[in-house]
Amino acid sequence: MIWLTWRQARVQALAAALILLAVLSAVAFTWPSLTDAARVSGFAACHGDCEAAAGEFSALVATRTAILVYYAGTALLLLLPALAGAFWGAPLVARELESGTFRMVWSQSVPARRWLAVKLAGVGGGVVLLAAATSTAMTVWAGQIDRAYANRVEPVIFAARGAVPVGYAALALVIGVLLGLLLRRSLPAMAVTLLVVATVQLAFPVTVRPLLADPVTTVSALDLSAESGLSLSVDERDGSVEALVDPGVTGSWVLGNRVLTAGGEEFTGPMDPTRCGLTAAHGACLAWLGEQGLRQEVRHVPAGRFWALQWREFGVLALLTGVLSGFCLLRTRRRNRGAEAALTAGAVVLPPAIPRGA
Amino acid sequence: MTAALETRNLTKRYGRRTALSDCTLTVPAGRVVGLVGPNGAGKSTLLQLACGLLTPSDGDIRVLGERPLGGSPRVAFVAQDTPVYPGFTIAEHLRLGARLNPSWDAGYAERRIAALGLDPAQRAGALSGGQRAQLALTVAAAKRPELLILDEPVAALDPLARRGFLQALMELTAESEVSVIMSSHLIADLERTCDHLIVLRDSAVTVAADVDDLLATHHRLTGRRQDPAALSGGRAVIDQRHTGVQSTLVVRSTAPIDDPGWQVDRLDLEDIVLAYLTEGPR
Amino acid sequence: MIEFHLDARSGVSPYMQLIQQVRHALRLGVLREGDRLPTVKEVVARIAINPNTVSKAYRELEYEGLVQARPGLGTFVTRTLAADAESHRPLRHDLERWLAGARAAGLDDESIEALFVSAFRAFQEARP
Repeated sequence: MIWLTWRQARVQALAAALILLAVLSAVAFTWPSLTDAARVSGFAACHGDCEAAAGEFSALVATRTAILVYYAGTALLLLLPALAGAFWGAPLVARELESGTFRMVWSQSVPARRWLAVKLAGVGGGVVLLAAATSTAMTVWAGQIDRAYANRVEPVIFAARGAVPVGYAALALVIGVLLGLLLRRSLPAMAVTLLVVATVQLAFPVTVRPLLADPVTTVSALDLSAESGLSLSVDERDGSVEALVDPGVTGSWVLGNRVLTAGGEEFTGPMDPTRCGLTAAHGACLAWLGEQGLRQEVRHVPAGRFWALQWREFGVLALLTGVLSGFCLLRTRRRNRGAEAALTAGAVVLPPAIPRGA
Repeated sequence: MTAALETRNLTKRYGRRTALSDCTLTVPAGRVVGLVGPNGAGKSTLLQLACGLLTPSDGDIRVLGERPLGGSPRVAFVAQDTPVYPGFTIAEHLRLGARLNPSWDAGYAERRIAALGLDPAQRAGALSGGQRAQLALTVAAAKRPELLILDEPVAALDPLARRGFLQALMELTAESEVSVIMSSHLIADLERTCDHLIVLRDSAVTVAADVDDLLATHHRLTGRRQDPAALSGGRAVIDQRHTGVQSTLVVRSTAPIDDPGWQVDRLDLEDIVLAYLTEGPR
Repeated sequence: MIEFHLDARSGVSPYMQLIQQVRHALRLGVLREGDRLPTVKEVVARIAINPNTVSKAYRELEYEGLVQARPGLGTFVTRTLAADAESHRPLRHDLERWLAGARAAGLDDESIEALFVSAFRAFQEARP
């Protein structure tokens, strides 16, 4: 059974090996250039407030090949789940169902459930290995860049670092297998898998991740100095105001950023037309704002929560993967539903028996 | 001796459609049994239930005295259109069989492939229909099953390939104790290869008997138009057709027919089966 | 050694066809005493027939005393039917006379054959 799994997945295994080889060689090849940039810019040795060094490092990296590896590696990790689901997961069972070979392989002395379990474990193991190796390589290699960009906990980069890509890849694979089992045709199963996996990847950061992240809410007096980047846009008709201000938390994933009144409501104006109108004296409006006792409320996930959030999300993804795998096995064991459905489709009108390759 | 296959009120539904309803039959062991019937009679469904590829909706089924289980080493199955993996070589199919079946007879499988003149390194996708069927038969037979089930194995084959397949199947039954159940529309093939025949119509067994008995006891009577009731007892009229002046009957009779009013002719198996299938609604 | 063949549309059961072919070969002198019949496996491999059918035909022939199975060696002819041809001469003469009479009575070939077959069947089935 293990041999059969290997024999049927060896093309995908070869593709995986090539992908991994490309990633590792790209990472190894650009590593000296990257460390050199960190050393030259002084960013590597910098601790504490490194904004200037980070800027210099970023500018330096942007001129080197490393930046291409950074974008390509990140994109690969974001696309890997969809690829695994569509090209490895969906055809796993669907191809057997549509070609009828399931009737041959399920009448050997191996129950269909064990057949699927071994295939899932084998191919799943391969996918997990590939994702883990790629993600580890990228997480270590891009460590300095992530520190300089201070965006590791933000949604896009978060899903391409650490343990989470492994979870997404495994989940996508099982989604592919399940859809193949349900749809019984490779191509539709691949298309729907792409769609479902993309939806999961987009929906997760919006819906589930904030729940897992346990974000921090900080309320502070509104900083009216020029550095705070305060901007007010006033609606001419009713004088209502939209206030925007820098969140002031570097490296965090900002979920919410509002300006509140002294009473705790969101500040929407209206402003005093005599002091903030077009005819008002310069600086009068700022003074008026200062008198209102406005505060800034920021809801964010600090960069320090990165690994805690990584493992939580990985746990949720692993759990989902396990549940869906169990569902696949149950469906195969209890009723061989795929087979029955394939028969239902074929039994109404007996398909013309054309010998393949004749 | 336990029956090769025994069903009682076996029913299989796909949603609202019923593929097999209330089927009760017994297939003797140690024989080559032919299963015939029109499309939709439930043959394929019955055979897949027997292999454990499907589970019954209702009723009882026993294969070699046991409830059928997918993955049983005692039962082998050659499915309709004899599916094989097009990307696998012949040798890899044999390896698949060896890996997946504890009872695999590697020597037999290799001898068969050599006897067929096939190159083990050839991809199955490049085989002709007949060669593909032979490969599927080899994989099923090298499992050394007690019961071999074949679902229309020769339907798609040209006459030469069909003959080759049936020769291989008969050689297999000659050299081992395997029981065989085979469905087919080609009754002439069943006539020579089977010793027992089951005619299935609307999930019900219309007739089940040894081929020799069927041939010996069925006659076509042609004569002046008359009421078949005039025939003496011990004879069953299977099918009757009347024109203005002539009556043509198919009768089953164990005693000889010496009525000079009838011309008595022999029937081949196909005519007998057709008579049972065209018989008025049950 | 003789080769069997099967006529699928004759309505004669396969095992009976095998028996008839052996008898025919004995009558024509194709098979003589001591000749070996093909083994069950050989017959099966050549004409794709059920092995049980071949065994059944051989058993029937053995019961008739025409052949004998020697375990491990094969099935051998023990008696020939060819010699009988000489003793059939008077019968054949009678039949030819009857045929001439039928022709003189105005029957054509087909009518003669139908008459013969129907009389023969009736005779056969009345005294099986």
